Amino acid sequence: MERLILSNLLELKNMHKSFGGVSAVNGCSFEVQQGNIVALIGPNGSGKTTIFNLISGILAADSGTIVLDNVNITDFSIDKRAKMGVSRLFQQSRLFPNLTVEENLLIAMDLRNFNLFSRLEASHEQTKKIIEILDLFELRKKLHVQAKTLSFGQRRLIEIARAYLLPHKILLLDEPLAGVTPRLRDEIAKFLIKLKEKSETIFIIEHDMNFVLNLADEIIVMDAGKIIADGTPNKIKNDKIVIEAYLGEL
Amino acid sequence: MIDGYFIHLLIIITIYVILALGLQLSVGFTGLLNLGHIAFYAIGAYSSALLAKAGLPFWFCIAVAGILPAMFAYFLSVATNKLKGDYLALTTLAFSFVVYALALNWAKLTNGSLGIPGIPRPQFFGIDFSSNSNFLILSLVIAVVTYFIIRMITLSPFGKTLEAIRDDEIAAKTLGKNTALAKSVSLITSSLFAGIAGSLFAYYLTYIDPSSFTFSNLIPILVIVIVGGLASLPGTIFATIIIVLLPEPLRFLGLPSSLIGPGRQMLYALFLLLILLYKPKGFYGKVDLE
Repeated sequence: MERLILSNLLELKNMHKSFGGVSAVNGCSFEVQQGNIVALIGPNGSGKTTIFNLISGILAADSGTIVLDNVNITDFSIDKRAKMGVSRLFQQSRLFPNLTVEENLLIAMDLRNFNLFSRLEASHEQTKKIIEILDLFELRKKLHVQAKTLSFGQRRLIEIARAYLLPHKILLLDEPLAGVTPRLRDEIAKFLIKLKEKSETIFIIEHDMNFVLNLADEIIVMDAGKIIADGTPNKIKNDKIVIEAYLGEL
Repeated sequence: MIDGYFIHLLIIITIYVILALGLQLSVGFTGLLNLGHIAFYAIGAYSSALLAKAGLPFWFCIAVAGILPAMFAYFLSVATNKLKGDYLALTTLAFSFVVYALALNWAKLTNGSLGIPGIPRPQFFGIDFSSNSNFLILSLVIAVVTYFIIRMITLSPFGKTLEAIRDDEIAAKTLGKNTALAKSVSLITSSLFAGIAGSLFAYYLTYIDPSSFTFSNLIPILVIVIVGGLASLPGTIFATIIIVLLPEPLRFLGLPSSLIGPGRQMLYALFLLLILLYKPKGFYGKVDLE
């Protein structure tokens, strides 16, 4: 399928973030183009999740600029960034355990903060979207159960569904395949390939190199808080620095 | 005689239902460990008592008794917005001590420890609420309205946002929820109902003094929220009935009045321990106590 590159959707310019003198992100700059899938890889502790935390606003940058769709969002709050179109999947489960699966999904789809006078109920369109994605993950029968009763893998799938259903411009996926069974890995992989076909813009952290090499349009490699390489999967696969710093470990 | 006693208990139950439903919204649904609830109750009671004594009509007094604590709650929520758990509990607890100290020491306004006697019972639409049976109807109607308002809020998208904040505030923020504002609205609404309960309390007893608004008076309300189950409205009603009735047999044991108060607190503590041991989510709770 021919993919049309429109423009830079996300730009990070000269980002810095330190924790008590330890530099977690040290002068990182890169772009994510509209409709592209960009993978962020690197050894543990290289600063990948910090980059995601900076983009979603969970951490404030020491310096640097973040631009989303031509809007400088560097000083925006977490919720404002989400409303601007940043949707985030966390590495650890962050479902609302006491809400049902349906409520977890609906709360992401319903961006009205202060509607006190109607029930949280899915519209026909919302129900269709929810059922469609739950069917894809074979979880329709879990619609009305509390999220805390789900298995780890099921929680992961619902979290991916929730990140997808939040109206967004870019999906930040932090290790979507981590800790799930091979069957679930295939399901998640299939879903992400489907999103690629829909020209979704995805920024993904993942350690499964085969998966990343097959899925991503571009790969950014980090080590010790710095970007040490970036380019197409073929270029990265053969990059000596990357092989030494990261791929060589495998 | 017995009828009068039961009507008294039912009135206390309705007032406690309003108070506990308000606390359930901030503690059970939003996860804010709000120990300032008794202060909002006091502000409602005192404002209502002073206005009623100045001859102002019931509806005006009860409205002010709701709005004034809500305004205090707004300022408190702005000040405590970034605080969670123990720190929020300590700050709201400090607030309740400040309000108690004011009630006790601002004698020009509150008459200090002597309290405010002679609060007139409400009269409107040609109905005189001097009789307890009429007052029961009034407090019951307000309790039922409170229940349905809180229920509507908790089932709304906003209510689910509050539950999301209770479960994981950062995740709620990443879904575009303005959690600071939502917590503020929750605390304001919660205090509004505490103020209304305080107003009814003042009108019912026709006398208030600071001893009704000490921290130990918050204990049974907190116990109701825990025993009924966090985020459970039917549980709140059920637990209110139990907690109000639980210490009543002490009256008939012929104990000196100096022992009845501590005996009541001991009963609450014992009951709470048993619930935590055998029903850790309370009677109807769906949320784990953490």
